[in-house]
Amino acid sequence: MSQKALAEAVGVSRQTMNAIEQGDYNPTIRLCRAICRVLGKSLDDLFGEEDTP
Amino acid sequence: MKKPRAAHLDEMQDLKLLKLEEYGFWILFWALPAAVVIQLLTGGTLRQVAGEIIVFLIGSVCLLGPALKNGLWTRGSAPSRKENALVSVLPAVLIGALHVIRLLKNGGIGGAALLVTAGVMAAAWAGCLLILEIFRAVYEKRRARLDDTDGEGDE
Repeated sequence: MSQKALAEAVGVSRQTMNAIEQGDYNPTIRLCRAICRVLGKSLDDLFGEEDTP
Repeated sequence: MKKPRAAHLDEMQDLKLLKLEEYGFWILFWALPAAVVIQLLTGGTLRQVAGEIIVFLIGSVCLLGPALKNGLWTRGSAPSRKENALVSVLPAVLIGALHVIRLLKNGGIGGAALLVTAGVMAAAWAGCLLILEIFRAVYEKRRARLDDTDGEGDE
């Protein structure tokens, strides 16, 4: 799924989606859940802390 | 149907706009008393700056009322008598300086005038401290009340 399509699906601008991907903007939990719903992933899958070795 | 972007900001755009509005607000907020001081220093009368003072007071009430209602103090400092006493020095010095400048413009300054200036400064400091202490009491009461609620219906 493209960034543009995801942004449209969750109702935000591509600029906002890009900022989330770059780590420049922390989305609200509501938007996180909307992104998870569209992508069929869990919050932990998308926004969980990665295990550090 | 596609929503018009201009009429519908997403959460990040909304936050950015709020931040820009915040900058604008604070510039206007402090520009008003600065304009009052400059006008008073350049021969203006209180009557001539009444409009600016009223707008400044309305802005202050609009900011202070909801802040106290929501149990919010400033970002920079914790509410305390010591802090309030320190902050009150600023308007006292400003009012004292204005008083001295006006005295100098009106034909010089003597010992008695300096004594009056000191009195004016002390009164301004005490007045500001009293007002800030009243706000602090209201804030602490409200803070305690908000912290005691179980969260139902509150954000």
